[in-house]
Amino acid sequence: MKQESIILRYGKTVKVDIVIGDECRIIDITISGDFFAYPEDSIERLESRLKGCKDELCVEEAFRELSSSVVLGVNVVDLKNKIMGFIKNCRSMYPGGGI
Amino acid sequence: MRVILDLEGRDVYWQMAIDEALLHLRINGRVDNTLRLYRFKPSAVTIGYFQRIRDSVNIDYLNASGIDYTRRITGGGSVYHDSGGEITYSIVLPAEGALVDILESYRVLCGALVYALRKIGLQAEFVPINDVVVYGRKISGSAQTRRLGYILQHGTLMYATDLDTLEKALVAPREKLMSKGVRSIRERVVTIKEVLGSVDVDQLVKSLIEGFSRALNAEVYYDELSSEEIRVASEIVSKYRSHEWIYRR
Repeated sequence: MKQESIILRYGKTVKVDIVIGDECRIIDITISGDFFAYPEDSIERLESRLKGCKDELCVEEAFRELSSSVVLGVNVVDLKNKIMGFIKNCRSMYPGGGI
Repeated sequence: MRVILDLEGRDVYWQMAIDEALLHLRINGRVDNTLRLYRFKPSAVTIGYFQRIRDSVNIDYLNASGIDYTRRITGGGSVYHDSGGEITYSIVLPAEGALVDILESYRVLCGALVYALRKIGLQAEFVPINDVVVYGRKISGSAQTRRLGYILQHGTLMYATDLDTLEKALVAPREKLMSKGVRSIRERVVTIKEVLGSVDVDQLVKSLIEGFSRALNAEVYYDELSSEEIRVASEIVSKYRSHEWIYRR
């Protein structure tokens, strides 16, 4: 299941492209947009950590990758909630976890 | 502060490679704090580090129009660099003093642009995070990266950019335009020429240098790119031409 969503903050946009597979597990995710992150590779590390997540705890832990980063133009809590929302949405559509 | 006037114009891949080379060499203590003013020839588009190329530019239009494009190592949004209507600046320096805080560093460095624009008679203002606006319309955008305690910030200043081409070249999400209260990219931007009717580019360049000198409280001296800077840029430039880099998102 492919989904995408756009979040706005301070006039910056963040787009989340996500592919969710069996057991509502994140198979692929790209966080893109005109925001800033320091260091830049923290976003790539976050994306890597999110792959395989199928529950909120895993997403929460993945976001620790950003704990020592500065992200401008993105509300990190909004972004995290959006990604958790994709998983919740999947579970509500497919209670057994299948796609 | 070392100043390099590089206004003859080179392609986008080379210009991005030179900026990155300057950052590497500043980190390694091989060059002083350096301000470079330059142009793109031919006209080009750069996109931010985190942007998806297909979401940010009109690739078919760029290809059909012979407009080069690449990805920057800095975040932020897509920029159209008009070879005949835009000056780009880049600056490398340590993140110290007022520049330690990232938001404040944007304010300080963009303050140089605000100074330059006011000096030539425009009511320019800094709008966080990274914009300079005149009458609420964007005239300059900047982006910075930080490595090992050093800053590379580069940005655009539109003095006579062809805004029709800019609008065709760039893509902005509808949500973003709505958040800015505009219906199109064209409504969101402005050039010096549009406001003043004419532009004295030499005076603008002089004002920019003065702006950075004042913002950083630094005396300037003029220089040219060194053979080492050119060698390092030559080693980097292929990245900016590569499909892998441009399409990495």
